[in-house]
Amino acid sequence: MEALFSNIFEFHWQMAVMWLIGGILIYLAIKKEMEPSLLLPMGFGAILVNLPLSGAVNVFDKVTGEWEYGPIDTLFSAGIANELFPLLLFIGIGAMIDFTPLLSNPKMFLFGAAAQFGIFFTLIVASLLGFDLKDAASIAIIGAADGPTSIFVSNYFNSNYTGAIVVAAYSYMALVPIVQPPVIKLITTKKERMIRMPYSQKEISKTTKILFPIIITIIAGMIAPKSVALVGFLMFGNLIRECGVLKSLSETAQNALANLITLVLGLTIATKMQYESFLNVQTLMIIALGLVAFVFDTVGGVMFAKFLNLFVKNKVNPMVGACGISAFPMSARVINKMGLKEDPQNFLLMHAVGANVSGQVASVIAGGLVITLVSNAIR
Amino acid sequence: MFNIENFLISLPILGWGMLGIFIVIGIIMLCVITLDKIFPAEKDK
Repeated sequence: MEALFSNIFEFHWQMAVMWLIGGILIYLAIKKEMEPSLLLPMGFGAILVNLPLSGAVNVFDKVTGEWEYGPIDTLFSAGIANELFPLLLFIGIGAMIDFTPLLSNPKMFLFGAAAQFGIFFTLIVASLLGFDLKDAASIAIIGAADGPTSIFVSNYFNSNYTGAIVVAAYSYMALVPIVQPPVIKLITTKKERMIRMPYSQKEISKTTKILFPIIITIIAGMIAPKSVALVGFLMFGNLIRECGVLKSLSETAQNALANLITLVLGLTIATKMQYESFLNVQTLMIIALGLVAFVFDTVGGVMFAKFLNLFVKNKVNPMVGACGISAFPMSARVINKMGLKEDPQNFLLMHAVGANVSGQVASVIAGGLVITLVSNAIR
Repeated sequence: MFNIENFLISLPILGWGMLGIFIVIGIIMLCVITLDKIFPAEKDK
């Protein structure tokens, strides 16, 4: 009888807190539809790994004196510790993205760059708050607004806070409709928000669409070599999409591959949500710093658009700058809605999508730059 | 509470990072413009 219930004595109250956190993630995924494909497996995983002597993770068996390997830790070693899962997911994401709105309006590229400001700003704030440079860089990358990039960078630096970073990244991506509007309203005037941007459909040749992913990979590889795995896999996915002869592969990458990896990724990340490493002040600080990253990404994009307006004849609606954040397509939708609210005839969607897609590329490159610059600084 | 030494190390990363991202994106932008000039959609047709 004692043997039957002995596991219960291994229970700690912090486990119940983690069940509650897991429950909240599942609730947000199902009821609020916030990034359900990631938050639901993560929520369930958080419960799974926080059971007393959970067989889902590696446990030291006191009787045999040996480690028993759990499937979630095994998956982590097989797919995240070597960065494989985020990279495979990037093939699927690349296959999903249509770069046409960006290629037909290359000016939008600049907003993608400007809206990465939050990453670098958060890096210095996290450093100031006492996180070592590797952890500060891992936390800052929440501002990439891109789950796989966050996982890739935090894992590259072997951060102790990967669980909290990924939860924050996916949560804020889902919260873009709540985070961005008040920030944009605070730093723009009504007149600026009403600026109209006429859109004329411009066709892009198939050759350009095919050469684009290849050229981006070469440029990123030459200038920011650490980003080449991320950029390369993203662009490979896009090349499959655009080449026109691999339709079934493109569909597989967009659906089956992306879904499978997402499914395993969420559950696997939960291994970093064990109460011993998750329930601490640093986790709360990371959640707060994630918000700082998203806010300053938005500020960077909007302020750059305002700066650009000092020199250009055809003014840019500064709200479009905020779409340079990589949360695709959420941010573009939010800005289009805000534009229509200010002026029912102001259709910003295509410009917003262009800037948003640029943010996808820029955030991945920013991830590579963060790895390169921080690695050099701590060498 | 505040780690000024870390802050001073990370400060140049802010500058170099933003400069780097604008350089890479700028080059990509120029390549896209050039690609569009060399391979206009009309040529496809």
